[in-house]
Amino acid sequence: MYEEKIEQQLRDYFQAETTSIEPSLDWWDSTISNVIGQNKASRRYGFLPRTRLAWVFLPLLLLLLVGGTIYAASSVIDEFFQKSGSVGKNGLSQEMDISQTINGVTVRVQRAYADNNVVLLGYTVSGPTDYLTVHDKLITTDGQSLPGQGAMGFKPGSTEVFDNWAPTERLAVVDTFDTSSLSGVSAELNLNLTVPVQDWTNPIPGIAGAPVVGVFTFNFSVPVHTGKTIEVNQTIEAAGIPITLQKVEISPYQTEVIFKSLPKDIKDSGANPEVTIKTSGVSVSYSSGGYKGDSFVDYFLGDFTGQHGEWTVTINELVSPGFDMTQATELPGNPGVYYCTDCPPSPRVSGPWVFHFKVP
Amino acid sequence: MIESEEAELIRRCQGKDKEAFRLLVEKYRAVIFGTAYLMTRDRGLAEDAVQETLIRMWKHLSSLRQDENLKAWLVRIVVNEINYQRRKKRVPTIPLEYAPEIADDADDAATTMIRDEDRQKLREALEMLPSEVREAVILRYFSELSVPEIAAVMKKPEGTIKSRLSRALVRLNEILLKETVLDERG
Repeated sequence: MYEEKIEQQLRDYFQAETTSIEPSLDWWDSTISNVIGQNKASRRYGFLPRTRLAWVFLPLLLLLLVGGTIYAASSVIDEFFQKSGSVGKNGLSQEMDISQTINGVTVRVQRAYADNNVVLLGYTVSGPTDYLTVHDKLITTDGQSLPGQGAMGFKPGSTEVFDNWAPTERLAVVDTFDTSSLSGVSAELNLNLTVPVQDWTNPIPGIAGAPVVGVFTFNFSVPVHTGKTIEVNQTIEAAGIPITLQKVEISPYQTEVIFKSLPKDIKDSGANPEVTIKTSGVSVSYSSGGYKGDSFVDYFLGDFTGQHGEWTVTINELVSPGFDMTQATELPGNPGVYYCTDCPPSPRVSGPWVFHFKVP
Repeated sequence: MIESEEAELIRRCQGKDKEAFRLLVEKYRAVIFGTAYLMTRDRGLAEDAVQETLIRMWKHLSSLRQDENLKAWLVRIVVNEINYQRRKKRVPTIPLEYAPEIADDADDAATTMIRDEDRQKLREALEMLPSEVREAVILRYFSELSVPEIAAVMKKPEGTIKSRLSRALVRLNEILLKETVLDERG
C-alpha cells in the first residue's frame, strides 16, 4: 500500500530533518536551568527572574557581570550562601559541619539558616560516583513536618558559578523548607533532617530504580531569625474585582505578601497578581508566587526588615502566564482527558489594586 | 522509562522537583523541539517556542489531568506558542526549499546523494500542501499524536483531521510519483 510507504518516508524525513538540527546538550542544560531557576525569564516577559530561587542568582550574576568579583569561600556551600543575598552577606547562616558516612558515601551538612518563613540547608555528598537526593525530609523534634519548597542541586562542572569543590564532592544541594505553618516557633528550631542518597550512575535507571546507597539522618538546632508580621486586612476593588491584602510577613530572607479572597474564576484560570512593593527605601517588582489554599502568596527575596514607615503594595495586573484552564474541554472519547480548545495565551485583568499600610 | 516511572516523575515535577523536570524534558525534548522546528522552519523561533513551552510546563504541569498524555500536552503547548508568535509577530512561513540543508553522516556518497534527492522531493512535496494539512502531517508522523490528540491541538473535528491526513497521503503520493516520472523521462 502506498500509504504505508509514504508514512514511513515521512517519519524518516522528519526524523532526519530534526535530528541534525537539534540544539546541543549545553543549550538544553542552560535552558532547563534558566526555566527552573528562571535566571533568564521568557523573552515575552523580559530578562527578569520570576521565582524566588532566581533571586538567589540575581545578585550573584550581577557580581559576575559587573566585575567578576569572587568571594573567598572555603566550600561550595559557603560560596552559595555568600553569593545568595542578604542571608549570606549579613552572615545570618550558621556553619554546621556535621557529617555521616554510610557505605563509603559521606553527606556533610555545612550551613543552615532559619526564620519565620523558611529553613535553608546546604549539604554536599561525597563518594566514588554520582548521586541523587530527591526525598529529603525535615521535621521538628516535636514531630512537625516542614513542607519542602524546592531544592537546588549542583554537580562539579555543571555550572561555572561555583568553584570551591572538594575533590571527592559529587553533589551540592541547598534545600528550602517552609516554616510558616509551624506552631510555637521559639528562638531556636530543633530539627531532624533525613537525606536518602541514591546512586545516579549512568545509565540512569530512573529515580524509582536508582538504588539507595544510604539514608542519612542529622539532628541539629538552628537559631531562628525573627521577622515581623503585619496584619493588613485591607480590601480594594478594581475592575469590579475586590481583593484583600491579608498580611505581610517580613523576614531577613524574604517577604511574603498574602492575598485572600481572590475570585474563584481568577484562581481557576491560574491568573497571578503581578505585585510591586514600594517603601521609602526600596521599590521591587520582581517576585514569584503561588496559590496556597484560598490565598495567593507572593514572595520577594531580600531583606526588607529595615524598611519602616509607609509601604505600598500594588497589584498592577492579574496575569495568567499559561492557559486559561476554565476553557478546557474534555477530549471526545477520552474521559478524564482535558484540553484547552481555545487557549488565549495570557488573560489579563488590569488594576491597579493599591494597598497602603505602615510598618513599625 | 516505563509508564509508572513517568507518572512518578510528573508527580514530583508538579511538586517542583527539578531533577524530575530535567528527566521529563530529556524524554520529550526531541519531540518538542522537532515539532517547533518543523512548524516554523526557523531554529531561533523554535528555540523561543521551546523555552516558553518549558516555562509553562514548569509552572503549569499541575494542570495536567490524571491520565492525560504528557507528550500531547507538551505538543499542544508548543503549537499554541507558535500560533501565538504568528499572531503577534507575523512569523514568516519559510518555504521548505530555503530551509537549512541537512547534514548527513552516511559514509557512502552515493547513498547520501540518493537520500538527499529523496529528501528534497519530499520537502518540495510537503511544501505544496496547504499549511494546515502540512501541520497535521507533522503532528501525526513526527510528533506521533493520535487523531483525537491532533484534533484537540488544531481545534478541529476529528473527521476534519482524518480527512486532511488521508488527502495529504494521496497528494504526496501523486506529487512524488509525478516527480519520479519526470525524473525518469529526464
